[in-house]
Amino acid sequence: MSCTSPLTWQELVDYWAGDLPTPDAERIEEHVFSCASCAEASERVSEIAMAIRGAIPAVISAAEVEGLRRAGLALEEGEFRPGVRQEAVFRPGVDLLIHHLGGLDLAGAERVHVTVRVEDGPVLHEEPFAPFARDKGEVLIACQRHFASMPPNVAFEVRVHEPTGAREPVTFLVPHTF
Amino acid sequence: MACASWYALEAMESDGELARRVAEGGAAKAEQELCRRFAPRIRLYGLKHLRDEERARDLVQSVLVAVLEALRAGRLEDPERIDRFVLGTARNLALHAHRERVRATPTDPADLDVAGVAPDPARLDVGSLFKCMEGLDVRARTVLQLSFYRDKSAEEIAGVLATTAGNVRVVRHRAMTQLRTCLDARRAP
Repeated sequence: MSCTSPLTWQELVDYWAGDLPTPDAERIEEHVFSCASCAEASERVSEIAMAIRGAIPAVISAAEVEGLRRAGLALEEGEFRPGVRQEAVFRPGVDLLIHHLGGLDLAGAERVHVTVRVEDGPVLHEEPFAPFARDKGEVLIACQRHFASMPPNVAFEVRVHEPTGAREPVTFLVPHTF
Repeated sequence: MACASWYALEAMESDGELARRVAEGGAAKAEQELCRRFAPRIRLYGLKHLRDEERARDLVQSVLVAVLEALRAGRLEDPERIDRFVLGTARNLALHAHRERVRATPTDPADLDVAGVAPDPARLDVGSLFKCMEGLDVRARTVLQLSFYRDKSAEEIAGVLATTAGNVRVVRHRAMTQLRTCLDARRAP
């Protein structure tokens, strides 16, 4: 089926990202309901958007960890301290390692930015809006088996943003064995 | 109901013509074809607004039942506007479903989170997604993660990445194009 005024890929991506004003989003929905070919294009975007939404993030909240535990995943948790090199071992039968990056002063934090990098090397992952436990002073990392494709000598840098500005980053050195 | 199974395409009638035949009665195949056409669109609406595959599938069933009942009962004045009617019904029922959900689980954040993070095997192959994500640069991956997982707007993302909202949108749609191409290539026989 053809469409005389097809929706653009960018419009559909912005729509699925929830990044359109309501009238524009409604216009897209009206078009999709009247047009099979644009519905198909929208599905191709939604498939990726929903997969990202359904994937387990690298930085995770305590509520999400609890949800995964309830869903039956085998979790192994470890506690890590700033500046102390401590190995993480991904054993057989474990679905996820949960790293508790503790000892952080998060009392005044309005945002926490976590950078995952190779120790003294390139950045692997950025999480500018990391969930954090203010009372416990910790950030949780969900280490996943497919991370085995990354270099093993990983460092987590946690930068706390307060209303007065960003503090110096705190680094956790966590070499991994898969 | 007639929507339980999908049949091959009925004659190339418009949606409105099919709706008119349903309204006139005794058109089981027209009902099936109408359901076959609208089910994917209702599912997409459900995914967008209810954010859950199972709830989206429930929405498809509820909307199609309501639409067929309305057509059979002659409650749709202009069958040519069937698409608007289906969308309106989807909007109403999704809003109702959302309110019910909010009322049902207001106090346990763990329950709210599990649906969002537990892998769903019915969706796109997660292994392929991870492989294809590795082909993106860090900034593109960050933009996708913040857009689709953390629900951040282009403006919010721009604020933390020291760029403009326009640039975030460009990075996002290019990254989605790259991912789509990669996933299609991995899916090809």
